[in-house]
Amino acid sequence: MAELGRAALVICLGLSVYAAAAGAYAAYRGRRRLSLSARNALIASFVAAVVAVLVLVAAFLRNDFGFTYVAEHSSRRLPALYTFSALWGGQEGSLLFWLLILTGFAAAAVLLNRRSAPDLVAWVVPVLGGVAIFFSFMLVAVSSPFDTQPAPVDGAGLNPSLQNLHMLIHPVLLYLGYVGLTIPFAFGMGSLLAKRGDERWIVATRRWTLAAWGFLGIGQLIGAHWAYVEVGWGGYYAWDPVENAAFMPWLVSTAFLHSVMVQEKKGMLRIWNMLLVAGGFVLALFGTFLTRSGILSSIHSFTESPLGGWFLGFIAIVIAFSLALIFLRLPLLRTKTKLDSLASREASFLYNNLLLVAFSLTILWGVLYPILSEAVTGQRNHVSGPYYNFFLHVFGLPLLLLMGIGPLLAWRKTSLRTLARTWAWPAAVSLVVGAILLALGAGSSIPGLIAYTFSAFVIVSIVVEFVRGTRARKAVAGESWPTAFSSLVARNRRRYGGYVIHAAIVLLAIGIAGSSAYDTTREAKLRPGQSMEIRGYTLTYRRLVQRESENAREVRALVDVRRGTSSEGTLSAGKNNYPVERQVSNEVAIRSNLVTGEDVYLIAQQVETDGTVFFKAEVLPLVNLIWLAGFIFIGGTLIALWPDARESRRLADRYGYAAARA
Amino acid sequence: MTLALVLGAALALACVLFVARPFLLDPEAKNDELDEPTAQERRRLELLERRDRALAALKEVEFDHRSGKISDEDYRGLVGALRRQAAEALRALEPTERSRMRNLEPPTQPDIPEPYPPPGELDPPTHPDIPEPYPPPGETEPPAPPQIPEPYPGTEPQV
Amino acid sequence: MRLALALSIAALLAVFLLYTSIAGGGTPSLRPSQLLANGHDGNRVTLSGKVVGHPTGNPGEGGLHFRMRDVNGTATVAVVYRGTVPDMFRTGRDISVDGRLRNGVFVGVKNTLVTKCPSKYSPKKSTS
Repeated sequence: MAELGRAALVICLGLSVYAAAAGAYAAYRGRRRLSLSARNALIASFVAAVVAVLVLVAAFLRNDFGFTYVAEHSSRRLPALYTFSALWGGQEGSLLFWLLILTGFAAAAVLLNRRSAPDLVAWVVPVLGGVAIFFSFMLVAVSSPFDTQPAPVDGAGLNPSLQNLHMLIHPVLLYLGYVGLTIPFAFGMGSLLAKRGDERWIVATRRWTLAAWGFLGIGQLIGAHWAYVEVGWGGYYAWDPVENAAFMPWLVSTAFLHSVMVQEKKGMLRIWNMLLVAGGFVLALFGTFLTRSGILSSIHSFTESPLGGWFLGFIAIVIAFSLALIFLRLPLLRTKTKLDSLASREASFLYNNLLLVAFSLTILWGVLYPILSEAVTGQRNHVSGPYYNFFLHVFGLPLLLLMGIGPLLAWRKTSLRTLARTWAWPAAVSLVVGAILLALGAGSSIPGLIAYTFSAFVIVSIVVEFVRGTRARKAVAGESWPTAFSSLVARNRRRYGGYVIHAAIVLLAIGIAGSSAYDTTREAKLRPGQSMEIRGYTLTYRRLVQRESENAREVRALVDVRRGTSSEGTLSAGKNNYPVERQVSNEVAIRSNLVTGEDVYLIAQQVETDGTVFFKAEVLPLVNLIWLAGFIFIGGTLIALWPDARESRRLADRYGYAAARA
Repeated sequence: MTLALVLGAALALACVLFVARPFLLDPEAKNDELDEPTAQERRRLELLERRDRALAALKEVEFDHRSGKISDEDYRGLVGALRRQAAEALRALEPTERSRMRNLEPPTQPDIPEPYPPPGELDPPTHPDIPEPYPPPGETEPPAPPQIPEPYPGTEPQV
Repeated sequence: MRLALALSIAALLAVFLLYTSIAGGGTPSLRPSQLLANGHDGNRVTLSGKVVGHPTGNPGEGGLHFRMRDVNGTATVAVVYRGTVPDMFRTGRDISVDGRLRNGVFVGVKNTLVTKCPSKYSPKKSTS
């Protein structure tokens, strides 16, 4: 069956080449049937990709170790569910997965827009085809998942760190995000190729961008949660190049989501938006490249493989293409519109863009620093936590404050007196909160205290926005408070969904501040019966237990947790031994207090044969707010994404007119 | 392994047929031109966007004023310029509207500014993100009711 | 508008320069062969390489003793490390650890040991 898989990939490559070449020619010459044919090729490439994936899935499910890829990433003992993790757990499989989502999204995007923007779609098809060419070529010629070998008795098994639900979902979400960013890129470039200066491309891809950004955000949160509970060093983010690889496109996309609103309201920043959409896509590709080449040492790095060179080449082509196209179409994009005032919402979006892009650039610099320093000085240097945290404070804290300031500003212009009035409540509350926290000892970390104070400001300003809006709606429509509230949100989904998302980010900030600025760590060597104290908790080590699971031998130290006189349960921390993969993994124990959001985190660093255990314990305040923020983030994104019939009708009117012909 | 080859060939054939479909369905196409907007249509689109932007800004300003984010003087300062911009955008659309009407069948209501619906009428078509305008209440509110035209002739998309 | 942009860029550069002048230019990343050639005066560096031989000792007290070798080479250096040992640590694994070279032994900084996924047999990776 491997031949079928290989054939499907070759067919996919051929279709992509056709879609790109024929599509470009058809759009250039205005040939309708050829353009339709190219579009069909793009859709058919999705079908071919599906066939290839099905072949691989079938091979995994049958434990066909004649497939080299299956033998390397699966074993007979592997639980069925994790065969999917194995599917995208290796280089070739993950590339195939990328191709699947890419062709799927491409097919959907062109199909959904075929009637409403046919001239735009005509140029979007070759751009998407071009991207598909790269990935299918990689899979056909450089890194194929369908290599065969004489089948060994059993496979090598899946890395135990990947055998959990997190690693089942995390790559999917990240890929949906990364690949999702291709669609706005293709539409933006397509718009330029079609010589259109209007915002049709933004309107068509608004929900795509928001969804991709949402997936990328949640994917990262799940990755952080995985690091927290599985990798188990007591943290959730290590500024590892691969983590940064997902963070950078997310930051740039955040900037883009805001700056397109400025283009909508005022028609300005058109060039900037084109640059941002291309930048987001390039960073998504770069992120994919970072995790595949061995060029930077990272926890996640794949082996040094030739794939890296190809990726770099493709990224270079995309950058050159985008910049050239933007440059050529500059006259189309230029506007003379200016900002009305530096104290307006548009201006705050501009500041937020500058901060977000600046932050991404400093992260990029940090990621590339080892390569650059080696190239310049011959000595490879790298930066780590302190560097990134410095800039997180310098850029992140003002961004946090802006989330509160922006909504309180009106579009166009706000006078200082009005500003003073609208900011009175949020400022007052946040200063009081800050003073109280200072009195409670939060001064031990200045950035933490600032983060808390700013967060209070933002929360109050969001609440004020909702209250004001509901009150105004009530006055207009005479509805009751709840009805006014829901109709307010329903009629302005993007704005109020956005506020909910901001609230989620604020919770995230509070959680991060609490768990990183105000955490406590203790280490102790305990024999059964002994205890250790940490921040008011008493941890008493009872005994060791052992058990066998499907593919591991598990050793656990049972530890009772008490706070004062009340018992808080038992933690079991220890290690798992995986005989097939010949590996030992740390299994940490976490006791979450859902009321205070605090976690007691226990690592059994070393288990001796005589029952002595070396423990490391941490208390992390407010860390669970981070995970709560994820749910609120999803909610806010859904609200903002939700289809709005009124808006669709209005847009259909606008563009329906433009396309109407006698 | 022949099964694999047969399936592969079938897939290839299906794809080729699908790709050739537009040509097979319509071998002697009378009109093979791709629907591209003419220069006139592009201009009209730009004007439509300008109009929508101006109207949206007007409604935003009103809502912001209503919910207290803009003071009375700020409002008075902004609203005049915005109304002018909206009127200009609408005026610029008229000639294109007229020529378009000549080409289209269903007569549409031209985008002529209408006086604002009297208080009590609560459901003009809304703009995304922009809450609806409000009828002038009995407090210290702006002197004249804002002139919000009926932006759209109807709510059904017309072709 | 242009002015605001120019000022922002200037501010960004100023912040950046401030940081680099205070914090210096990052930590050297070395292979064992490079470390043996230049001990960097016992300053803190990051050592990356492959774990070879048989690790002995206890990361909890006394220290975990092992040797690290260039991934593509033969030079080895002795390492002693205390602290958390991540999941995938074992002989043949590529790792990084921060520390200082003292009397020919690389003394690791606590809790800085980090493993990389790839194994000897095949490119085992964690996902992107």
